[in-house]
Amino acid sequence: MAYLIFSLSLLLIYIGLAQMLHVQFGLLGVPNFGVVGFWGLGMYSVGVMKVQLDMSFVDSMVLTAALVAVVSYVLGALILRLERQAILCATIAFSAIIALLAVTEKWMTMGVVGLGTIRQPFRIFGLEEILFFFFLLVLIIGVQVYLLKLHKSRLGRLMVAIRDNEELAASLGKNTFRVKIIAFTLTCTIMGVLGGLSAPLNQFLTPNMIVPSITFAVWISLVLGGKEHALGAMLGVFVTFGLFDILIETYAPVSPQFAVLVPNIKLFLYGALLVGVLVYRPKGFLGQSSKADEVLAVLGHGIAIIGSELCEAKNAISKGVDRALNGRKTEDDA
Amino acid sequence: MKLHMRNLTKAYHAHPVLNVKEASLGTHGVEGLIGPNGAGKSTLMGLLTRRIKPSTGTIKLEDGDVTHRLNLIRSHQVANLGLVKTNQRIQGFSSLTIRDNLRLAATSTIDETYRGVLDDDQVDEAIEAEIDRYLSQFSFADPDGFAKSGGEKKLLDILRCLILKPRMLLMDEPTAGLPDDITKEVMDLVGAKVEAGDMTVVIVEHDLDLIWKYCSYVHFLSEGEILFHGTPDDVKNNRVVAEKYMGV
Repeated sequence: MAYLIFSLSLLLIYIGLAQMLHVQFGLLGVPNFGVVGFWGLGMYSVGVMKVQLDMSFVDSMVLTAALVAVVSYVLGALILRLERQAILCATIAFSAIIALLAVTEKWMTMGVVGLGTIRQPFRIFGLEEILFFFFLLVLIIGVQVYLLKLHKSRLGRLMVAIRDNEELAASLGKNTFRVKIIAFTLTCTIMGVLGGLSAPLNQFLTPNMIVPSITFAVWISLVLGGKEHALGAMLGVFVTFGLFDILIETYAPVSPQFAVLVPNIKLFLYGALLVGVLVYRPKGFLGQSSKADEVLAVLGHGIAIIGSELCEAKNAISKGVDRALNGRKTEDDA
Repeated sequence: MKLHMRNLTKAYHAHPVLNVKEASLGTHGVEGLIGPNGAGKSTLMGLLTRRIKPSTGTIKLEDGDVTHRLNLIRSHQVANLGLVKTNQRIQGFSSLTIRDNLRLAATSTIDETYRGVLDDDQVDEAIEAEIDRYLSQFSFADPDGFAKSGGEKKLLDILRCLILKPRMLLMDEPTAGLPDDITKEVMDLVGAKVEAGDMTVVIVEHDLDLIWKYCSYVHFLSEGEILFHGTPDDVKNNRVVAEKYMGV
């Protein structure tokens, strides 16, 4: 149970990261390949403030948010005028720097020895984990509601316009750089906050947590779910992390001699799923808004068909049973 | 609204493409800018809207008593001052419907905020009414959908600029890709706005009939220099223009 709550909390963190990437890449067209850098910076910042400086959780979260905001603003000011490929390289380099600093700055991060223990913020005995999970849940639902509104808003329209044709948007009097840097700073800061919230979840921080595979997992989730759809991030994380890491890896009944293969098979299936989706639904499961309705309609239709088939099957079975019983009865009578 | 250029030059890798000693645009209502291919017309347009940086020289925008030095500002600020340009090649936002394109242009940046996302009312009645007016005047196959043909995209590009209520409109080859009847409707609307004193217009165009018909003053650009300017009749009868451009 405790492990399930931990997994689900981590799932929510991933959804949050994918939601932020959706704003950056799906709406604005800024390819941030340094997701793990912002997340890791936030996580280690809270860890250092709590363990080394003995600060309260709230204080450390506020200071962490401020720190990540400044860092992402400066980074954004340096790279957001560049071409997309350059932004991609610069952000991936940024995350590599953060991962390296976590190893080398031993006086602060304890290096590879690890930094801990970071305790849960809600100190009610026995309920710490579950309260933290619900706190995350409320946060992610709040972000999701905001994203759904953003899609229908004037700001959302402007973001999409910048993604489609930034020069044209500027020629219509839109300060495209300002929109980009504010959105980049805000979303990266939230990624940092999600990192900060991951610190008490993980309790013990080591540099090998800041690995590019987190960035890739978030990207794969978003692309699978539909990068331009408001619900794409959530769906994508459910399908990848939820299905593979939680359901299959933890709960599938696999005999011990094959258990060692599961992570590899998981990666294989990840890849197969991604290729399949990119071939048949290049814009992700949900694609664009109108397509999503289609998918939901198809799903609904499918469920209806299965339902009616089940009903018919049930009728047929009960008829058969009746007939069999009656048949036996008539035989008996005879 | 008037534009003044002085010693304006642009060179790519030491290869000069434009060299305008001194010129003014926007003093005669509708003006034309003509010249052979490669004369530097589009480069000049790009320089005026700050899409391209000049190598040397100054551009000043005179708006009543206020003079803005365009060298110091960025392209979105130029648009906000009221100097807007339609595009020669088809440009568009592929994910926005025709209405959303016009809404985007008409919406002020002040309303495009993070707090505004939470407002339930994302519709501005005045803007919607204006969009309806444009869409009733110019017919699209599916006004609530996307601009499909090249002609629709070109028309949408011009309408997007008009709905910004520019004080000075630069039109880069408005007829390219646009059917004749639509071109006439667009030019009539533009002409009416100029008559009303809402804006001044500069048209870059190869279709000389359109230039003679709508422009009251014409600039002739050749090999990066403005060689002649005057009324359409002066330009038609000018020997330099005839030799270099009209092939007489």
